[in-house]
Amino acid sequence: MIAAAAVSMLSLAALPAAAQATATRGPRTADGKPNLNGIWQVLTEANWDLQGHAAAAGPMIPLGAIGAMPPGQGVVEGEEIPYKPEALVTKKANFANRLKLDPEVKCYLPGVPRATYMPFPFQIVQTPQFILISYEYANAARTIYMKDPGPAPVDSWMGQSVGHWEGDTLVVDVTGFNDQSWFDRAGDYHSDALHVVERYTLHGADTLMYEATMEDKNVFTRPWKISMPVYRRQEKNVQLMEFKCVEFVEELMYGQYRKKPAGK
Amino acid sequence: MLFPGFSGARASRKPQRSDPMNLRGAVFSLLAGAMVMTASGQGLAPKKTWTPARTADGQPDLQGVWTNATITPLERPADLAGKEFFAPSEVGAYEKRVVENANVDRRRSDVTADVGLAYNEAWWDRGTHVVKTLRTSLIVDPADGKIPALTADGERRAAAVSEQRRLHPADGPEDRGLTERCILWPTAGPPMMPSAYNNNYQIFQGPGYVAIMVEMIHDVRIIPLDGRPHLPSNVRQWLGDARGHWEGNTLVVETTNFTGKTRFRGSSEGLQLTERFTRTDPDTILYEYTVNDPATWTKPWTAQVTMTKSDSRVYEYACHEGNYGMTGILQGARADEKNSAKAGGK
Amino acid sequence: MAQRFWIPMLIGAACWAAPPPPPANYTPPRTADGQPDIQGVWNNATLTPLERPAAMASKPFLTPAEAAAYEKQALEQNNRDRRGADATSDLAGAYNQAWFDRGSKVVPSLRTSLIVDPADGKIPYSEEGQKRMAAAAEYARAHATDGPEDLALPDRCLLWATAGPPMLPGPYNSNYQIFQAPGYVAIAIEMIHEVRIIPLDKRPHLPGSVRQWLGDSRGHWEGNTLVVETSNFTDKSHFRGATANMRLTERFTRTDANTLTYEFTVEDPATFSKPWTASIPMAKSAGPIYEYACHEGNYAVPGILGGARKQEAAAK
Repeated sequence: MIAAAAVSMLSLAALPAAAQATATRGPRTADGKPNLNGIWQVLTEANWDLQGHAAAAGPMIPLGAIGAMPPGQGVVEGEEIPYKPEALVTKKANFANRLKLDPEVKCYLPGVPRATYMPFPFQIVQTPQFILISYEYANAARTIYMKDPGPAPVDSWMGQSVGHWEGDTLVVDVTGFNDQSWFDRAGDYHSDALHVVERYTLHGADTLMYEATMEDKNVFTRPWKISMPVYRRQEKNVQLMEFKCVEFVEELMYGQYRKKPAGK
Repeated sequence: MLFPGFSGARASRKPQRSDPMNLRGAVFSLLAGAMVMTASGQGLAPKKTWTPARTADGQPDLQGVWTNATITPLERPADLAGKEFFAPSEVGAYEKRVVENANVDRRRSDVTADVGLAYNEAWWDRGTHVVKTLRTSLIVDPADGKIPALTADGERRAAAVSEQRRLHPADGPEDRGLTERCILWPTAGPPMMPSAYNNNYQIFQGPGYVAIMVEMIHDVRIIPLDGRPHLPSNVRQWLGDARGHWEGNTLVVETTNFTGKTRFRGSSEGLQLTERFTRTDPDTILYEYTVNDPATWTKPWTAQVTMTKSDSRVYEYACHEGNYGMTGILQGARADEKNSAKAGGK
Repeated sequence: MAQRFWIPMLIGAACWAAPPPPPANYTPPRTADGQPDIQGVWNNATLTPLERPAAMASKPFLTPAEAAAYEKQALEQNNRDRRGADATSDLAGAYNQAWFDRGSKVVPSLRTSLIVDPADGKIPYSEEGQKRMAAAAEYARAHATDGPEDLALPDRCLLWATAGPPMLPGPYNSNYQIFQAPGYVAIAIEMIHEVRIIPLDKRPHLPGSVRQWLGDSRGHWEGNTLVVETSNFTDKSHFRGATANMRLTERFTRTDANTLTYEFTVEDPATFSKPWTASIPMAKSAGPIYEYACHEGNYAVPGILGGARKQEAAAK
């Protein structure tokens, strides 16, 4: 390791001054944009329920307090998600059946904006042409195209993200969703007409203010918005680790197809 | 051989890539002329005249979308023993023959064999070309282009795995391969090896990091360059734990902390992997890796794959979300058991 | 569950018409950010009941001599170390006197109830409120021990009257520690290690859809009095039969170095025909506050329920 470090020091010394100047954490990138590089995580309870809610027992008695829902003041502007009446019926049915229906239970991709406020960190790697966001949860990932590549060629869980700067705010337009993901564990859902516009704005070096506006004419009566701060993970040597949860849900999803031991 | 389960949304991009054979042939000749072949198997040396551009924080620029599809096998085929390189004139015929033989749209003699091939040719993307170095194997060391001998422990483990598979081909999901389980594809590894399709990568470089997004299965290898220590040794990960640094224009990535479940070609959790990425021209990254696993192989071995710039994009490979293969395989196995039990009058 | 001990009263010669006024010349010190300082450990145990006992209906105040006699009698009557008539009644007394800490004095005002309004010292239930209470009592009689939800909140280690709010004295551990920092007053309540964190800025209450056991409190200073408004109660705490729409106003005034006067007004039109107010003096205490790990040591619930199941089985 020491030899490698020595070599890496030599390499750094050989690089132009710009290399040392631009840190991962610093107000601007070399191309003059707000520097969103780093490892980030939210602290809200949005993933349990976007709307304000008191604490409640969870759906699995054996998990006791571990499986219970923590309280949240809500992240929705105006407090309520504006469902069409028939869509609200679906949302309630989703909630009643959430153990079976919530895609998170099966380790499915979280979609946008849910990926942002999962209780896991994510890392932003920012370049002029692309901004990569890599999410620890289920190693979900998305590439934000800073040059519009045209309409999404196919629907996907994470959608297609196209970004541009408005002043110091990164605005990301996400389209091309399928209808499979949920917004939270409370059954809040959407159709494949979903259109999300996100806004990322740095507030100081260690806080991102995050907003997302959702539009879906099949489900909601009007667009609606959520907002929350996102905090930089500041532990020494912090890194994303693996949360490859597919392995953890095999028993849940395929256990019924297991060969039964002889005699059963 | 059991085919990996077809799952999720993927795109085959063969028709979309513009890649005329004539141009590639000309480029090969040029490269072949410029090659410096050394005994240690360096193969393609960077052309002295080409230097990669730099990223904003001074790293040699590896960014872009790359594909490593190739028909060159990992190990040298028996009928090419002793032949380390193709002559440029031999390449065309070899490629044509291999691609034709691999074409699964060739009708097979009987229906069962036909159905057993599973997918039409449209789904595959194994590449149509040998590696740009014109080697006959991806392995460059040992010189015979073959994986070195296994240790006794490596053989024992391999035999145990084989036996387990033979006795329990589909008792439960853990008996199936990692690709069918939608946990890990060889394209991610590491090392990152070409596979059946979707051999696509996108590299991003930010200050202090190189990030490699692997299309299958949307794995992102985020490699810090700051010399920080590896994760604690009791923390093991499917893709290990990678640390990178630059040596001149070559990114050197050291990966440790593998689990014992990843089993790259039978490797143990003690696998130590060194990868080297060198952009040798605007359209090529020379990707070389050395496998060091004394518990499994009697000596380290090294392979090279050339990665070619792609004008396409990386798509979302939602493997698990569309994994009908797993339920089909397991249900099928249970149905087979039931049927044979009935037939056997049990 | 709470046992009332009806104390035979010695009717004194004179009725006090009004309580002695608090000393007018006390100004509390200030915290660093300028709040009147109400910090410290306080105890609100008292022998005075919340509601005026029937026997004292015509006696809003005691004379000092009556008070002394009342206190003596109360202590004797409540003393759990008095031997019962037989072993069974002895056992039903449960704890020894050492466990209790109901206080040894009536309130300094010598009022015969903590309730100061209405003047009769009784909770003014509406007809609807009374009906609901009666129905609840009926249900409780029929389902005393079916499951944990049928047991009293303190037995379930969910909520004690000392926490409320409003914060009433309990059989023991009627202890509080108040902390003040810029923009906040925090009241740490020994049972059950609750902390009421009261913001003093003008933020709105939680959304109406969010309900909490201790409600949601907002405070502000009026002169030397901390006024705390609390709403967003659940329909599970039922303070004296109130519904989730109960609204509570509490007033904390440090009336001398060793006394924090605590007054609260309860409003719930669905239960009470008019708002009612009580006043409890909190006395400076040496402390400390101890950890009351109620749930962690809750042998009572399995004991009560297990015992009920055994009784049922034996009855078969």
